Amino acid sequence: MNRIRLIVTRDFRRRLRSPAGILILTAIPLLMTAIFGIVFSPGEKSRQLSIRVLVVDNDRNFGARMLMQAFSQERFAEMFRMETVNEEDGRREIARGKASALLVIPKDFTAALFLSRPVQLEVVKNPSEQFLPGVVEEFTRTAAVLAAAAQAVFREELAAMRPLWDRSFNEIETTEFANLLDSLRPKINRLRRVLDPLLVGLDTQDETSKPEAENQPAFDISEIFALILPGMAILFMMFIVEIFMREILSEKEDGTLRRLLFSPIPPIQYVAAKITSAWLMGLVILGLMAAMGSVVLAIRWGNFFYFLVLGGAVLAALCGLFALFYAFFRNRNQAGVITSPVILVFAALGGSMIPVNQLPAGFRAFSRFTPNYWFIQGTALIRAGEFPVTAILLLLAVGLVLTVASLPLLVRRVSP
Amino acid sequence: MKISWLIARIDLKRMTRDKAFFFWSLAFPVFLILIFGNLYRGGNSNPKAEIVVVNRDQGRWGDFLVAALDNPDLVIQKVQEKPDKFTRVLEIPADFSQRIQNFQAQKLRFTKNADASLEAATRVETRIIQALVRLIAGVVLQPESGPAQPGNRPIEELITIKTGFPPGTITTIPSGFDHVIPGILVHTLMILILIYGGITVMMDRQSGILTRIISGPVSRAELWGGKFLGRLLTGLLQAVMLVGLGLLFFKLNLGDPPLSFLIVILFSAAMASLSIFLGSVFRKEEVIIGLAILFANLFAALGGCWWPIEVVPPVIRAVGMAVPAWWAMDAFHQVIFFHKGLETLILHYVVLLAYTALFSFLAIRYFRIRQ
Repeated sequence: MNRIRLIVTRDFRRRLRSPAGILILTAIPLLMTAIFGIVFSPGEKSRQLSIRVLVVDNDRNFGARMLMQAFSQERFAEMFRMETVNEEDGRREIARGKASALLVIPKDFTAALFLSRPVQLEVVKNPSEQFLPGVVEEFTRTAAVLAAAAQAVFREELAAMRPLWDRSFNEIETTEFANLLDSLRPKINRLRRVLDPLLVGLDTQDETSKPEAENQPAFDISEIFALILPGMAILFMMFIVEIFMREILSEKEDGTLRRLLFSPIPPIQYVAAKITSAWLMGLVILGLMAAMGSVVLAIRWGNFFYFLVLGGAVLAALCGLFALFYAFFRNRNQAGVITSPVILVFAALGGSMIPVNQLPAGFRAFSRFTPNYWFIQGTALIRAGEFPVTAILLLLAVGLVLTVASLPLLVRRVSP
Repeated sequence: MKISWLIARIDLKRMTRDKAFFFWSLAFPVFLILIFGNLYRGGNSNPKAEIVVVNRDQGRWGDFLVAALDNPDLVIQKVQEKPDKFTRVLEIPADFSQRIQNFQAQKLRFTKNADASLEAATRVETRIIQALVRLIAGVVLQPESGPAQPGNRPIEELITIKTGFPPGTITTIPSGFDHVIPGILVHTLMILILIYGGITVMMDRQSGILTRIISGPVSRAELWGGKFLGRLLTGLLQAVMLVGLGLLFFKLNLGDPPLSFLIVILFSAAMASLSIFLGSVFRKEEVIIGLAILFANLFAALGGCWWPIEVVPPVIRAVGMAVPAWWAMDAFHQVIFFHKGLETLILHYVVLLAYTALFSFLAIRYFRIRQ
């Protein structure tokens, strides 16, 4: 036991003397989390993201103004940045990708609404953008349905009003207005009854959403960071543990192992010490990552002891996995060929790169076979105040099985 | 030049002999293309969104709403009871018509499966809102005696929307792969060139290969040129493989191929210089790998390789212009989606050349032959 402790201490000291590589790999997940969080934070986006829409108003009348006002209502006012341009400039700008979309309102738009004549709006989309032009298109469709619905309601009145527009104000008889008002009154009364309060609204829910979600505090960007960092942390922990386990081959190649085995250290103790030091150093680094996440990104991990237990379990699985790999590798080149691809495939399938529920169904079937998946699920449970017993037991069992399986093979690999 | 070419060829041969080379240059990018290409699938690749409508209504307004929901975009499955498994479901309660007749406010429950497509869910939700607008118009128009039928002219036909792209640009909606492949190409070019290029420079220096080469009739400039060319060729080889695969299997639209390929050449040149700089300055493999991953991921995130740059906050978008990946990605967009020519791309080429010059200056300044 004392010899194992000595080797572990030596490994720690050596790493502390030259920590640059490990420090970079520790810092990357934090940096990536910060960038991902800022980009995908819905709270931030609603404040900052604005969709530039160019509008060509060939109608210059009441109908066009109503349509454009739909884009400026309350929360939409921040979402859309409307700019009225002439047609030539608008088409030139959209062809240069300077806006998300160009909305062209035809010359007779208002007249068409008054006369119940079909009319066409044009939405020219920026071809290089994937989502925002679609938002403008859908919003325009909804605004068109609203305008058409209003037109349907007031069809007779609009048709009756249209001839009045061509006459001067003095030519219009009071009785003509009175007739219009008589016709409008019941509809406006009905409208008031269906709009205040809204007669039929929509209550949208996620299948998994819980009722208490309504009582939760307002959006906090640290929640986004807490969703991203576990995936990033486990990805880079795999690289870090792999580097630690690679030392078995490095020390064999540079003669350190031969010198060590001249001393009264049996190969089994050497192997056990290397696995232990990889596990311990991994736990220190994971703890450091989590602490930095708390300090720099204000992440609330929940019960930190639970987190460390989960971290210990996942590191046991990773140490066992890479111990088994290194039991078969003859040199570092061979290791590089296998381990990095395995790490990246695990990361992609396990939810480190993309949330598992957004993966194509075919890929999703493999997620549960990755340590990434269980670590990410485990941290989510801890944040929700639960102890992730399934994830911990499963990862510990995998770690134990793989370590036990790899020990005799690794001993044979390092024995002189 | 002949010697530089020889050194470059030997370097390229060494890299391609490495068993991991084809994983990094081909298998891994294709894996990412499949994942991200499906994730950011274009609107035309999956035009129909499913919705289950549970219509328990005892009156006629439930049917009116279902009819108003009818749309070529949607596949509507009408059932009497809520199924256990669904992607999204709209529930119309039994007293729906009764409450409408009594002008009592109500909310319909629309439940989405969180695992299903977010884009499709948003589309369905928009269609439901549009159907509710039609329904409310119908209620206002109804005679006092009972529910109304849809008017003579369905209201959606009065105002139609014509959509399209600017003349002279693309004519069909680009697939997710058209957006994703350039991003993955730029990202994996960075990973491959920076990691392989950096580590091999460092290993050649540490193992004395550089000393042995320079002790022959080879100048320092020829040696540096050979190393630069070797890394450039590595990038080009990867680009040829990925683009070829994209053309064969994903119907990749490259715009003007020579202009697109010039972007790859200039971007690879910038990364080749940066990789020699990293390999010259740092002594440990894990430091070079760490920095290469850091630079590649940072440049990819800021340059718009991982997500559409339009969804990125304006501040990050502005910062992104400081990284070479942004210029490469924007150049790809100009060629592929806007069909722009040399007159537009000249700025992008000059900026990428400037990055190559800057990184080459650093790489030459710090290029070390001996440990």
